[in-house]
Amino acid sequence: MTDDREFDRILEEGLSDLPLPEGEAEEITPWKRAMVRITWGIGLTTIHLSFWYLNYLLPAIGMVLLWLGFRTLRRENKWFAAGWLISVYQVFSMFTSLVSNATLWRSPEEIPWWIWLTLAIPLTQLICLWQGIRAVRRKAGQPDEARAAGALVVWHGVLCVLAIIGVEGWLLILPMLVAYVRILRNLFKLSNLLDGAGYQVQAAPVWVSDRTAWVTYFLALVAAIWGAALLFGRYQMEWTLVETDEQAGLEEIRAQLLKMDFPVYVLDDLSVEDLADCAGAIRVEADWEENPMNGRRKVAQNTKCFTEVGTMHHDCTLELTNVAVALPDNRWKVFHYFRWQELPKVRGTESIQLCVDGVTPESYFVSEDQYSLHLSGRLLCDRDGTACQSDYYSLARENEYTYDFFGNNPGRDIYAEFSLPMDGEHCRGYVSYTAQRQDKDWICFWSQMNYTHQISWLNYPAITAKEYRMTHLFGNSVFDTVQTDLQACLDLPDTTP
Amino acid sequence: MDDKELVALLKQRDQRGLDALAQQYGPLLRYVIAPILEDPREREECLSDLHLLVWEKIEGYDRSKGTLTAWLSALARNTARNRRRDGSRGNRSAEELDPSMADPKPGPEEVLLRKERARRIQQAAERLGGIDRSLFYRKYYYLQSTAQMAAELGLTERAVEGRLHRLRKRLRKELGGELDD
Repeated sequence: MTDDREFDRILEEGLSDLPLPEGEAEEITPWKRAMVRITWGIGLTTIHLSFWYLNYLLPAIGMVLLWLGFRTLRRENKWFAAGWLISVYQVFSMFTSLVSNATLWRSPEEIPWWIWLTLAIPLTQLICLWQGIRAVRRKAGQPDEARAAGALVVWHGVLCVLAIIGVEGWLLILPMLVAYVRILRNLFKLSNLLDGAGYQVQAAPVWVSDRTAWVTYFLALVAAIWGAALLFGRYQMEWTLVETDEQAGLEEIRAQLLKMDFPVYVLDDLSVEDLADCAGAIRVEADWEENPMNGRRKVAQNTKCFTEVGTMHHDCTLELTNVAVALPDNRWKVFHYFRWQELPKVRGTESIQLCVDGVTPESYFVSEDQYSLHLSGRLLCDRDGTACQSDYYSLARENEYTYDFFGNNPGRDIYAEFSLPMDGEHCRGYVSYTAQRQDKDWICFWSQMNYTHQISWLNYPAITAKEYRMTHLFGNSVFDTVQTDLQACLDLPDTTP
Repeated sequence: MDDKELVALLKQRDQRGLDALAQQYGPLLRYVIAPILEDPREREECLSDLHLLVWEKIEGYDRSKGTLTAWLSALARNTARNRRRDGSRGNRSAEELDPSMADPKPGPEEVLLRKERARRIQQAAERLGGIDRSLFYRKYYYLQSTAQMAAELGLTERAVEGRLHRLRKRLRKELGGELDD
């Protein structure tokens, strides 16, 4: 064996005496590989399976398959070239869509009219495929037709019309699905029938190999989703330094509240306005509890008779304190205060939901128009020993709907949204409201706080802690909620002079 | 028209068989010939020769031994190779030829040696998988250029060269000194 050229010659010579192995001759056509990819690409991008993230994964794979398929054929004729350009747009569009799903950015609720035009993009691509196949057949001197591809165009056109006029229901979807499966099967058959014509297709050269394209696309996708979740999967909070001695001049109110057992650590964190609101306090009711919150794991304990499976919480806890201050003029000022003993590892989005109900002798739940609520609150943390504060990202009373056996129950709860700082310690904050009954005295009122914390970064597509709470999702391992409530019943002392 | 009908027509010496062959398998024959013969005129002549050969040899086609595509591919490949070889011989001047040169037909010993060599090559090819196997047949059977292999397999030319280098190395190792003679 002298050199590579001689070795190649011997192999070339040796193969002359051998028959081609089964299937080898049929597999070599440049057409087959491209058409199989395009057909699979069409299938994966059209049908969506909404479990195990397949509704995101399969279309992404389908888009890349379409791009690779059209890439091979792009130099064959102008139709395939146009199909390839569309596939390039679709791959990037899918990429940005998948990445933006990891952020808190939301599309506008009202769909702009031009969004309907995007339906025409895959339709145009199918027309390109149809005409491209016809052109290949013409070139090979074969009959100028590709019925399966034409049927696919018609099918997709009908689907677009149904989407625009908003027709739904299984009676229509089922025949469409059956027709779709049959068309795809015929497209596969057509692809095989065209193998003869496909030998004349000139495969276009590539700058990036298929494998590199796959690996790069999906690694970039994972990295971009991860980065987007870290950077834009949380609220942008504006932290500012707390003025020293900000409660100066309100020492009298402080002293009065402390005398009534107002928790001192809550009192220290009150804003000037909230502290001033407590002037003339008649009574203070407070309770406190600690909740394990920072991750948990299942543990199994074996005894002689049985295995006990329990939940082991990590050490880090969230302290929740509820304080109600009775004020003159039938007012209550309520503080729901939280304090993280140490910063949790995951700092995505947090939410505080307050459900407030008043109970009087006349009515179990007082209707909302019979009392008013004034909301306030702030967030605090320490950075290098200095206290910083921030407003909530949002703090408002919002409409929501819960569904039970009797149907739809509209309600209005208070929601505060925020993110904990990435740097800083002793994170804490409170939401406060002043409740005032318009006509009569309170008998009792009940105030519940639901603190929802994001416990995992695997939050895809991204939802906020508030959205999680509002949609009442079950089996979600991304968020955890702890609950505490305060019930204040009174016989108010007569405060009239 | 399916292969069975096509072969039947050719065997009956029906002209429609040749027309169908040109329509259905013309692109395949051109595809196999193109990388072996560079000159377009030579390719067309080779294609004409091939039609004639198919017409003559169709009786020898046995469907149980392989598909029509495989049979035609082999016929096209070997015809084009022979044409290329004859062409390069034809270019040599008569003076260059040694009158004492031995008869080019292989002797019985060489025939045996070639069979054994082919068997070993086949065994080595069977052990290859995926892209390597495809590259092997494209390179040594279809005699395709690096550019063609790269485009059709979705690889860069550099990647194909690298893979071919490793493939050659592997085959050398597996076939050992068996190909030396």
